Formats: sequence, structure tokens, C-alpha cells
Amino acid sequence: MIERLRARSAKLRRLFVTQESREQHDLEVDEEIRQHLQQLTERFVAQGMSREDAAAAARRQFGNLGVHEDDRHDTQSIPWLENLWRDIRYGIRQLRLNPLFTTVAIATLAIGIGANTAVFTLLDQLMLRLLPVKDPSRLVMIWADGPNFSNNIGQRVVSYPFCQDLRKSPALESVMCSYNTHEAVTIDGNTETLDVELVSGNYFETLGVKPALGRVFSSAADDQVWSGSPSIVLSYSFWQQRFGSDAHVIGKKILVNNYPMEVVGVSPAVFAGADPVQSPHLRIPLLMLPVLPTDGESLTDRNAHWLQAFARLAPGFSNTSASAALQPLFHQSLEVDAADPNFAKLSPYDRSLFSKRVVSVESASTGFSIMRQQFSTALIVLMCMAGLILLVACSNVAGLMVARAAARQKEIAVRLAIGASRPMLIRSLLVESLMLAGAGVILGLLLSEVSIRALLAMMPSGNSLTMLHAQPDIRILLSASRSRSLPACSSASRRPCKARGSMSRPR
Amino acid sequence: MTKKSDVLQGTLDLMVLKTLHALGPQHGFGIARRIEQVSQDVLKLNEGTVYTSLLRLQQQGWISAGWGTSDNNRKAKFYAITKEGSKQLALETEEWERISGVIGRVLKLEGEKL
Repeated sequence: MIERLRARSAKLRRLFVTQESREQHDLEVDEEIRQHLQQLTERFVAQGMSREDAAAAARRQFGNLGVHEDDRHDTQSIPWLENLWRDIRYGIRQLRLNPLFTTVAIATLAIGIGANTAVFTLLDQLMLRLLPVKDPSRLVMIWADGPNFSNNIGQRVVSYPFCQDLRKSPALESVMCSYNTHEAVTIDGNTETLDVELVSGNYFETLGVKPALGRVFSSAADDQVWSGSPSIVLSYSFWQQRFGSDAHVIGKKILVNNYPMEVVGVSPAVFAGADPVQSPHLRIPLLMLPVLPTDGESLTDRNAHWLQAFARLAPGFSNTSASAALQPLFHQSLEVDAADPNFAKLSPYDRSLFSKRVVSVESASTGFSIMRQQFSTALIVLMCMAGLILLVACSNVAGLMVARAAARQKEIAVRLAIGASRPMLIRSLLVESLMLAGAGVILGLLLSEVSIRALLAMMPSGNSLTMLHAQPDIRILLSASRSRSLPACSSASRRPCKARGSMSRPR
Repeated sequence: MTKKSDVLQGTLDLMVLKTLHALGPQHGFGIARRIEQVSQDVLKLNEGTVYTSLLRLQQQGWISAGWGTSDNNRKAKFYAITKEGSKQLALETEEWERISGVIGRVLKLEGEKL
């Protein structure tokens, strides 16, 4: 094992010395052998042979010079690497011979791969990626759809008292709630409107998110007294952009709606919250609501539905069984609605809808995003289109390759005739196809970044912190390009057979 | 006339190593002469293979090469065994004896009753 490694490293070293020193070394060996033969010849002459016989005998005893040279060459080189290098140079020459074909093939591939990488990168970020939190698979979102007499602010919202009811349920381990809003925030005398998320004190504990700096909220410190905890946790990108990643920001006083609060920490870079796409600029404890201007939000009113509730499922509970277990709790909320004077005026149909309302418990492993709801359909349509483009690109290039193969039959016939083996031909054609595909991938990568930027520009974000980024995901690129290079290979490998077929036909 | 045996695959390196160990630095021609002399015409040695073997041994770092002057005052490349080569030689000698012992015993089995 070690011996093979050593031999391999010696071979590799030889690759990196200059051509001259390699030739110098070969010359030295040649000289050694020449001397060897000479000495052998002299020895035979001394034994009484004629000079010619002696020289012949010496060569016999030495063995076939060409075979020895090949052996030495194999000992010192890595044959597959050398062959590959030769194939690559040959491929480049072939591709340059037909620039139109090469350009069209590479451009087609680049468009197919670029479009797919772009759309999949966005799709992955928007829809597929798990939240960067602890054990996202146990995370659920809880809400109830259907008619009610409440104030509904936002989607999938519940009231604060209901949230607290949920905490009593054995089906859920840790219930947190959050609310996204905009507030006037004054930093160093400058006031601006920022995205602020009000979160319950156990928000970070439930998600299992550790601070990047300072501390994050805890239920012990920030979930006890109304207006009792004027603290702020900055989101990472806001901290970077607004404070230049200054660690001294901890303890800084900031006015939120003219109420002095103190920065206590910074959340981690990858963490955007329950919405993986849009991050608030800063978070403050939910119990600070009384110091903020309200428009229907309330910590006491069961009819004020404004919070998004998330929880971890207790062990042994599924979404369905948890939903069933929560139904009695939900009933209390329903009773409040039923006591509403307007309830009596409801039509029997509405009343039946009302009585059928159930608690929904849905996996929130990828979080919940308004943006996702708005754009997922568009993205899926885009994805289908990009898929079709890739398909068209594949068949186009495959067609081009086949046409080119037909045009190259003569060349291949010549190569076969002068001794190229079939595996050698297949390998060199494969290398050529892979180079085409490789160039397509590189160009596609550049193209995808441009197109992701274009797509992102179409999404409205204002001054919010959008967590979508334009860097194409390398994993996605690989899968897109893999699907591309395979057909190219298969069309390449067909060619030698065809060439051979036409050659063996009598003419 | 008896037919000479081909050098067993893999044993040439061992013989070259042993020759360098026994005789000190040698050039290729010297090594070939020594093997020829010791083998007493039993082995058929293609002398060119000695140079391939020398290359392999150099790659493993078991021998080193340097220029010197031969007996007849000619510039020649001399090969010398390294410390590591000596270690390897001991190892391979032991291995060779073990295996040849086993093969010898197996071949003797024939006549005996099992």
C-alpha cells in the first residue's frame, strides 16, 4: 500500500518538474544503457567473438530496447492521466475546428443549465430549505381557519390568550408566538421605519437558536412583566449594515416608538426567524406591546387574532393527534365567539361552518412565509418552464452531436485504421463531450447568477431584509449539469459503432 | 542444454537490492554482472530490466543514485542502498524465506503419508 503511494507520488513529482529536467533524466538513462551495451560488447569481443556478433549478442542479452523503454515509461508515468491530457488537447483542437457547432452547443447548454440553476436556487431557498433551527422537523404552526367575529391581523393568526392556553396542552412542548410589524425606531437621533418582530420570551428557546453576540430573549427575563423588559435583539444583517458589526452595540439605547430600549444581543447570521425569506430588522419582547401604538392587537382580548403561533410537538404526538388534543382548548375560544350578539344573526349555513372549525397543526420545518405563499405558484410554473428549456437544450445538443458524428465518420474511420482501439475512441469522444458540458456549466453558472438577480428584482421587498441570495447553489448546479452531461455522453458513445458499421460495409 | 528460467516476477528488485547491500555502490552493468555470476547461468536475465528495477527502487526511496567514475575511468551512474532500503531488504528476505519454506514443505508432502 505504502509502496504504491510512494510510486504514485514519485510519478506525480515527475509531472511537475520541467520538461527539460525530465528529458535530461531520460538522456542519462539512455547514456547508461549505451555504456552497458558497449561494455557487454567488449566483453564478448574479449571472449573471441567478432565485433558484429558481439554487438548482436550484447543486444540479445540486454533484451528489446523498445520494450524496456516502454516499461520504464510506464514505471514513471500515470498512463490514464497522460491519455486524458492527450484526449483533452485533441478535443480542444476538434472543438476549435468547428467554432459554430461549439458555440451553439455551449450556449444551448448554458441557457438550459443557467435557467434551471437559477429557478431551483430560488425555489430551494423559498420552499424547500429547513429552518436553521434545532430539530426543525418537530416544529409546527398552530392556527384555526374559518369564520369568526374577531379582529384578524395577518394570516394564520391566533389570539394571545389562546397562545397561553396552548401552553397548557400536553401535546405541545414549547409554544411561542410572534408578530411582524413596522415601528418608528430612533437610532442616534435618526428615526426610520423598521421591520420589528414582537416575539414571546421563549421564542429563541423554542427554536433553539443561540445568540451571535450578547444574549437572546429568555422566558425568565422577558416574559414576566408587561412592558417590563425593554430589550432589543438585532438581526445579524441589520447589525452588519447599520452598526458595521460593532460589538459595542450591546447596551446601546434605541428608541422604539419613542420608548427607550436597550440592545441586548444579535441573532445568528443564518437565522431569519420563522419566515426564512424575510428577516425583521430587530426583535422586541411581545410584552412590550403596551408601549407601542396598537390597532387591534391586544394581550388580553380573545377576539384579537394577530399572533402566529409555533410550537414543538411533544414526543409521541403527530400533527393529527396534536390537533385533536388541542380541540377542547380551542372550544373555549369558540365559546367566546358564540357569545357574540352577532352570532344569533348568523345563517344556519354560516353557523354550521362555524361549528366545524378545527385547530390546524401543520409542520413548520420550513417555516412560514407570506412571500412563499405569494410566489410559490409563480416559481413552480417557472420551474416547469426551466425544466422544459433544459429538455429542449438536451435534445438540441444531442441532435447536434449526432449530426456532428455523421460528419466525423471519416475521421473516426481513419483513427480506427491507424490503430486506435474502440475504448480509446470512446474515451476521447467522451472527453470532448464532457468539455462541452463543462464549458456549458461554467457559462450556465454565470448566467444563473445574473438571472437570479433579475428574478429577485421582481420581488417587492422595499427596505426589508430579504434573506434570498443570488449565489447559485452548487449542489443544484451539479444536479442540473449531471442531467445535461449524460445524454451528451450517450450520444458520443454511439458514434464509434456507427463509424465502424459503415466501414465494414463492402464498397 | 537446460532451459534457463525467467526471473520470477518481483524478485528482480529483491536481487538488485541485495546486490547493492552486499557489494556497496554499483552501476547497472556491475549489478547485471553480479546477478549473472551468482545465478550461474540458471536465470535468464534480460539486462535491460535491471534499469526498470533501479527506477522502481528509486521511486520507493530504497536506493539513491549519483555520478561516479567506474573502474575503467568512465563516468557512470552509481546506485547505493539507503537506510530504508536495508530495512526493506531485511523485511523482504524474511518474507521470501518464510514463503519459500512453506512452498518447499508443500512440495515435499507428495511422498509422505498424510
